[in-house]
Amino acid sequence: MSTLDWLTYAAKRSTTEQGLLGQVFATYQSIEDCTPDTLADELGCDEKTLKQLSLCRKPSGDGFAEQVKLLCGRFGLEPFALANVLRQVEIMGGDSSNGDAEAGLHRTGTLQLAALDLRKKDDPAS
Amino acid sequence: MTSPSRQQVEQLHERMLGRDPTATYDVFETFMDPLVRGLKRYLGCTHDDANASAADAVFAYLRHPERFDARQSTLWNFLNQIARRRAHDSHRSRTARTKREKNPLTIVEVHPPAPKEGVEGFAIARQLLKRLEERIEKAGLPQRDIAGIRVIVLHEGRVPAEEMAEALGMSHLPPGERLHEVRRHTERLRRLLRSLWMEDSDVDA
Repeated sequence: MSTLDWLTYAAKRSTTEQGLLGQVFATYQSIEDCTPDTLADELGCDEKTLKQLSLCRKPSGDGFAEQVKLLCGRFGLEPFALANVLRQVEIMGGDSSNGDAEAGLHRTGTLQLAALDLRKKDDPAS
Repeated sequence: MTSPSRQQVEQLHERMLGRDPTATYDVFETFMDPLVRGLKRYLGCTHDDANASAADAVFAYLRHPERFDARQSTLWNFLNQIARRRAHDSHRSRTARTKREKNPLTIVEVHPPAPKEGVEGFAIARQLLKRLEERIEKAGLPQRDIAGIRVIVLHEGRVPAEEMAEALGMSHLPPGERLHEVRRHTERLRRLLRSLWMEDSDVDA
């Protein structure tokens, strides 16, 4: 069994796992109608690294910037590219973890970018 | 791949409880290979089953890392137990499905109607289905008809033409003729099923 075997399988499964980057990437690909290859190009990595990234937690909460930096340092990405994908999904994809924090991988860290925080403060009913 | 030391595993669990976003990937990297190898070697799982059961175990841990108690077991044992349980469940479910599919006469147990009138209604429905199954068996129908009835019951009446054509052994026919024949046989089998059911109701009356 090669590493690539389980990596491919687990990465595919991650597309439906709350709180993992795999789900974020799946949403992004759906919004942008793009292939994994294209997404890998945008992030500046190869397909294997994209699968590895898919199994990482999506950055969230107060430590968002620090977590993005950590991910990018580990996998050799440009922080701007990853943050851009996260932001795009947050704005366009409707982050499903907002109303379903219990289902998230990380209970204490619901992904909320500054824009979303502001929107919530402005509109307490949402 | 060498097994991780106890200290490495403890550190990994600490990272899982913290905010390190790469910890989840490291759990996969650390445990997937040995889990899959163990499932294949000791339980005789197929490659795909071993992969799926090992991933199930790791995903279960990722969702709730706080459920692992380091005082009670090691993380390896914790994940291995989950993976083995999943492999057993998957094997049991697959065996039951194969058995069911090999015996089309058990079809009526697959989709019993939803009980609308409480427990009593459900019990009556089950008895009726049981008797219908016996009547299908006694009727000595050809295997082709039983396969067709199975498709009707499994799809709760909404019969997919291709699946029915396959069950009736008509996939080789030209599309127009196939559709015509499938419709004709579906109607015939529905009538047959209805008459077997009514026969049972008449006896009760």
